[in-house]
Amino acid sequence: MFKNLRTSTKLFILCSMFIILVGVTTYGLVAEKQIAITFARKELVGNQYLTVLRGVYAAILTRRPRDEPAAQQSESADRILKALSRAESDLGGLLQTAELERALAATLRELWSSKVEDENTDTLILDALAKARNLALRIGDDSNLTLDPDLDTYYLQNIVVVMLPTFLDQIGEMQALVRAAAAAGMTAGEDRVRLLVLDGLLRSTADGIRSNLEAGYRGQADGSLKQALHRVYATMNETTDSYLARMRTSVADGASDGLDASAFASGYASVVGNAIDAWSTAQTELDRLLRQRISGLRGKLFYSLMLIGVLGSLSILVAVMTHRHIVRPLERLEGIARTVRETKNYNLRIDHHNNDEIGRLAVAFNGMLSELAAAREREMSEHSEAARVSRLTTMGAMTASIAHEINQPLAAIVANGNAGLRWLANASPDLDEVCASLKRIVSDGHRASQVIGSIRAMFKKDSQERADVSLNDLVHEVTALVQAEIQSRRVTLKTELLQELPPVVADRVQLRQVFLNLMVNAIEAMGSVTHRARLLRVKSEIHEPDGVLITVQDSGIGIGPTEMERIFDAFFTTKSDGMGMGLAICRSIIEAHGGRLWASPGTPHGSVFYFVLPSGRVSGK
Amino acid sequence: MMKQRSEAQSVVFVVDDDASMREALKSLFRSVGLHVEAFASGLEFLQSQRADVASCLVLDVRLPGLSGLDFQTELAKANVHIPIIFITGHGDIPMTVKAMKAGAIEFLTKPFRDQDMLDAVRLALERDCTRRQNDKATSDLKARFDTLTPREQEVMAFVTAGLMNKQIAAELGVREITVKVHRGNVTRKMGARSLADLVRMADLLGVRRSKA
Repeated sequence: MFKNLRTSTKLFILCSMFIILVGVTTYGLVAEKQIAITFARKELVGNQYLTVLRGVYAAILTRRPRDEPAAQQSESADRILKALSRAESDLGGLLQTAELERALAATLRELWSSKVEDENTDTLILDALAKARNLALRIGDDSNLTLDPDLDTYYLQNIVVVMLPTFLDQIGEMQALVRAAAAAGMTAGEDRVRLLVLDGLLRSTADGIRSNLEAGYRGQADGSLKQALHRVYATMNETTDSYLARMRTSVADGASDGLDASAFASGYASVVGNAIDAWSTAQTELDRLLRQRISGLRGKLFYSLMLIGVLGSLSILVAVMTHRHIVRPLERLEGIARTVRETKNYNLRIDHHNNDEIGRLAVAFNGMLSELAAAREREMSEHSEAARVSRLTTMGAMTASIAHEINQPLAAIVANGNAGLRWLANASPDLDEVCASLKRIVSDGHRASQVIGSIRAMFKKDSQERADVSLNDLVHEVTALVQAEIQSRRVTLKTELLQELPPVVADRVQLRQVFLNLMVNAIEAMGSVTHRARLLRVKSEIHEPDGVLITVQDSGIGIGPTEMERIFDAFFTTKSDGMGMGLAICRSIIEAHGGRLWASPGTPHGSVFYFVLPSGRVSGK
Repeated sequence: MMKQRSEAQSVVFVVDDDASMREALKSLFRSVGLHVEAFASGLEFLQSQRADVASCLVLDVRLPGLSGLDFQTELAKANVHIPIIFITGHGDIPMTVKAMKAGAIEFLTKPFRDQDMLDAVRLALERDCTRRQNDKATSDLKARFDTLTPREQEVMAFVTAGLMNKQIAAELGVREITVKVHRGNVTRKMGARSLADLVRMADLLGVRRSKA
């Protein structure tokens, strides 16, 4: 089935399949990149949520309800709660955080309500911190941050999502312990142990942050991350270390008189402040890196699409060019082959000058056409020559025969006349001899007349073989006969034949002779015409009242007025090799059929021959 | 007067299938006093009894059966040396050349002028007359030559070849006096008035022998 398809269809199929392939590939690429971009966008959302949560942490850890006036305090608490609920409504849709956020918000409201008892504050703070931490972890999980694929951002998100909340949680717990110890005025052994444990935990968390940072730095090539974070984290570590060192000293030697809470307050504030700063910086960096990644992905996607588009266009261009250079020339080739077959015009050539296979095919095709044209030319010239020779031979033989038949009595008349004259010229004329000569002359005269009569009879004899003849058919028949002459002399033949032409009763062979003569004469009359078209027009029409008119017109050299009077005379010819019998015979044939044959000069050139024949059918049929 | 007499004896043969032409030619030749015999075909002519007098043949090229030209060839084969005048309705050059090469006197195209025909006939008859006289002279000579003995014929051949008596004697292995006797006999029998006369006779007879 495939082999029967047109080449252009095949090319189209090939091209379509290629385009589909490219489309599928492109779709895969775009989808993959889109997934990565969506992934990173979700991370960005998580980071944004964490920013709000950072504010919550800062508020929980730094604002003591007692430190500020109630109005201001409730205002700032409201602002933070609003920010939290807005973040949840804006961003929480993507994350499963609603429940945790509500729990945190409830705890915060309780914490910041003016009714809260002082001794319950720390418990509430710890509760809020725990809930905030849960929220942070959930945000990390749901916003894909914990699944981050890049080294730098992975470690950074670990700091942002896990480490820093844990750190702040632990700092908050430690401060609560310190405050409780200071309020009680003593340091119970249990509290001391807990402080030391917390100290260890804090150190390990800080170490975790450090090692994560180092890993993050390693994972980032251009060092911008280290530049942005190094100072801030160094400060945080420094303050944390000094705070913890002081705490350890206090726990070690101030066992009896308890801890001085106010002495720790400034250290605690700077640790929390630095940690929040570090968190903020890390988040900014994380944001920056994520956005960088997204724009990188977008850039790659755009670049890939550009490349695919260019390559696709190129391949379509190649397909179009292939179509133009293979299919189109092939179609032209086929068209010319068909035209040649239909019109028999072997002078057509395909115009294609490439050196590819098609070009060579075109050259071979043209060569073949030339061969054909030459062969045809030879065949035609042989054919026309043969027809001409046979026509001339027939005519010559016929003329010679007629000439001999008429010459014979004429010669006898002359000889007898001479003999008679001689007898008369004698001194003693022998009138008997003269008489005999004269008698023979008379009988020879009759004989000559009989010869002519028998020639006429020869034409008339054929009248018994008359039948219905369609002149249109006859025109086609004769056109086929002179086709070779027409082609070789580059004559354009135009036939205007009336379809419903009535038949004539005639001798087909004789009428064909008339057509042949008129058409060959016309063609030969145009032989020397070079500066205008050689047009042979044959027309058939009805001639009122009940005849058929045939017109044979040429654009040849025409016939002069003096010649025009004589062209139908026997032995009159304007041709160098003519015998002057053709038109005379034509006229006698037409007249024998009860018709008329005449000629007139053509307009603007050439000459026109007309003949009229009565239409009719053979009666009794 | 000689000529008139010879023409009176001579006869013109006409072969033409056209009766009227035949009659016209007969009438024409009769009007100038020539004796005429006409035939419709070559065969009739051959079968006729012809007098052994000076004659010529007026022959139509286009004849039923054997054509005029073929008939000419046939006559030559049959050793009939009659001068021929061809007449034709339509003569082309190859035909004319062929006829003239085969010894035709004239080739006339119908219709011909009567004077041309008469001139041609006169020429033909004169030729025939001359030929006949030559033939006759040669046959007289031949008769006389036949009266010679074989030895005398040999001697005549040597003599006319220009050999001296002595040489002839040596050739024949006879004595010179014998040669002289033979030579005298030859000259007498042949009726030669001189050696030159004898040489001419030998030429006509074709007996001259070249030196060995």
